[in-house]
Amino acid sequence: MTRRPLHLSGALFAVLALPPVARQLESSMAGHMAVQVPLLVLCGILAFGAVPESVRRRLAAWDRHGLVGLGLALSAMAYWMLPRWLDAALADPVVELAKFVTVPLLWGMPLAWAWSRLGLVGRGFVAAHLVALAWVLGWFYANAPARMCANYLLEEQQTLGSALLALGTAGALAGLLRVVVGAPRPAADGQPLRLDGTHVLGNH
Amino acid sequence: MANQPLLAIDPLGRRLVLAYLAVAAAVFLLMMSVGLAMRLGQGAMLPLGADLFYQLMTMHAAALVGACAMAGAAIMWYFLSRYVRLTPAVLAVNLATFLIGAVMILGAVIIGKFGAGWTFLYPLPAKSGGQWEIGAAAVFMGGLLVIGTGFLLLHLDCARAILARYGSLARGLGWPLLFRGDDSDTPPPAVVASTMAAIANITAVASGAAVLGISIANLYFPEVTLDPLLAKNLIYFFGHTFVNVTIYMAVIAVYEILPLYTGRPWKPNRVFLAAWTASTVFVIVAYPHHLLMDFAMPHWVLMVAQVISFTSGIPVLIVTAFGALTIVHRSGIRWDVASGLLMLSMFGWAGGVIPAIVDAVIVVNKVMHNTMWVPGHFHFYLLLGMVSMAFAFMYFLNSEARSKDAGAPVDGGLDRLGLGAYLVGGLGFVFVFLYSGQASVPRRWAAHMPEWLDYDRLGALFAAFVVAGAAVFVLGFLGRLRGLWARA
Ligand code: HEM
Ligand SMILES: [Cu+2]
Repeated sequence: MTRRPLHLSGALFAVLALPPVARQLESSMAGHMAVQVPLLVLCGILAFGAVPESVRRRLAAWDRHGLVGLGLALSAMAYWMLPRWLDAALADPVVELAKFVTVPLLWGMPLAWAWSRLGLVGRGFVAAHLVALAWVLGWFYANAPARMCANYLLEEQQTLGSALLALGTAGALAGLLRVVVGAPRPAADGQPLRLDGTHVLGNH
Repeated sequence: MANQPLLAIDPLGRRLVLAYLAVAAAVFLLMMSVGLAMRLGQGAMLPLGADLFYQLMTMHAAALVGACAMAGAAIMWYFLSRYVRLTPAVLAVNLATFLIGAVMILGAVIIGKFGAGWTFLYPLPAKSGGQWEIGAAAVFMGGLLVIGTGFLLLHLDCARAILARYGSLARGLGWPLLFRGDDSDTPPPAVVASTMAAIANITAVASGAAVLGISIANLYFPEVTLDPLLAKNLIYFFGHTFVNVTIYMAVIAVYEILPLYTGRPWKPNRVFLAAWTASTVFVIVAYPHHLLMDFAMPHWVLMVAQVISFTSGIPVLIVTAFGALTIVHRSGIRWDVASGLLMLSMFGWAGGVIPAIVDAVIVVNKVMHNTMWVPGHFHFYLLLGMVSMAFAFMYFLNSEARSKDAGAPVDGGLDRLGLGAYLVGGLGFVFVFLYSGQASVPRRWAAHMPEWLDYDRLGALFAAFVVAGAAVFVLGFLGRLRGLWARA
């Protein structure tokens, strides 16, 4: 078991938690939602790399396809995407603390777990929906005439919208490239199982 | 091409394919009858009224596009599963989501009176003028979203299986042979076409989900506006691609079935692979031909789209038509309803693309778009091309099952009569559309001017022949379904 992921994750977390860094990122809506929160998710994902094999096996016994993990991650995501909680995090240290704890723990780690269990179909499905969600939210923030957060200006909200649209587009292109180019070697498990004979219809 | 042994078809998968076809067949017959009613309404022979006409038009188009997708998916799955290991459970999920989505769409139209067209162009769904509630629009678009989601899963599963066998989708498109002349593991046409369908439709459905999500959100937050031109771009990116992919899935029937009739295998060569790779890109970028009337679009985009539209369907169409002719030519092929429908479908596809290309020329489009020319060309390749492939596949399944018995005849006089009615009726029906378009009759008008009524009535007469032919095919297939089910 390597400790590297844990160290990386801890270092990233420590930097993000430094008051000046946190203040700087949280000073803009895009920095808060499109930089800080995703990096906290990344902390959780990295930390999951340190989870020992035995624990994973036990997890797999009751969440074989990672669907529970996925549900947990998506719930946490839905929760922290509500603008009012971002507002609250700015005003209330308890909420801020909750954000720093739950985003890596209940969003990042379960996501990494689910991803490790999902097959290509599940991953593609989640990725396509995340892309679509980024576009929908991006459109919403870019065009909403009123402020969603008391602490951020309308302009910042629009910047966030554009950032989400760009993020969605980048994700879509990356995903497309990934499937078209794919892995370089043909995997063995696609080999035909048994012979069926060729059947030929017609008059010969 | 390395001769690969064929995989056995999963029994559950086979039954699901039959279920897909049964759903598609029933929708074909029902919604073609609705089309006949619309044509009669335009000909003032049936008092539909504008509201009902638009509800029917919305339902007709949405349901038939869905049925084409189901039939295309059935064909693709049936043949692709001989080469790669697909997951029957995913096929089942897509059937369930399709049925849920279909109920939502039908409910939105029949109960909710939604009639903004299957293209749900912004901002029409939100501005019904009191004809339908916001909820009906949301349920309609939600139904499309549910159906799209199921197809996303299905194409992802195909992509997964192709990746597992070939390593990358590029290999699924046969790039080693195309670019390096390496013929050691060239995929069969069914794999090439399925790869293309996966790439195109995964992209299309992701953007479709986005624009549907935005449109539904807009219903409830009308103050968050949407750039109508952006919405139109996204919608046609989705709609154009999704409809085209139904044909690219269904054409697998031609590649797989014709060779069985003549004993000449369909070997992909470099030209064939180049055509499919070209069409993979073109089908995705050709959609702006639906926006040629939108003067606010950047001009260069429209110019590019015009050129691409010439080339979009053409490469695959030419290699397919040419390949079909080489396979059939002097082969002593046995003509029955299945092989006849397959040849008709090649003709219908090719014939329908010509007026489509004419319409994609900007100068022509300025005059012809929004005339009956447009339903003329797409009914040409959908009704005579795509749907013929679906019916051919239904007959093929039957003859395939029967050929294991003592060479029993697989279709009777009634089936051949049906083919005749479908052929004559279909050609007449689309030519009346094209002719009225050329005479400047507008499309999507519920009530027609007195001088157009003759066209409409002639069109309705031909449509009645189509419905009669389709009834023979559909009822025949549904009648044979139990036998096919038992054999699966
Ligand atoms: C007997 C067969 C059919 C008949 C009589 C029929 C009739 C019609 C009529 C009268 C319209 C409205 C034309 C207008 O005024 O704009 C229409 C539109 C349409 N039909 Fe059909 N149709 C048939 C088959 C099909 C098939 C097989 C498909 C698809 C696979 C299809 C897809 C559509 C679509 C997409 C529209 C466009 C709706 C719109 O403009 O939003 N139809 N059809
Ligand atoms: Cu198009």
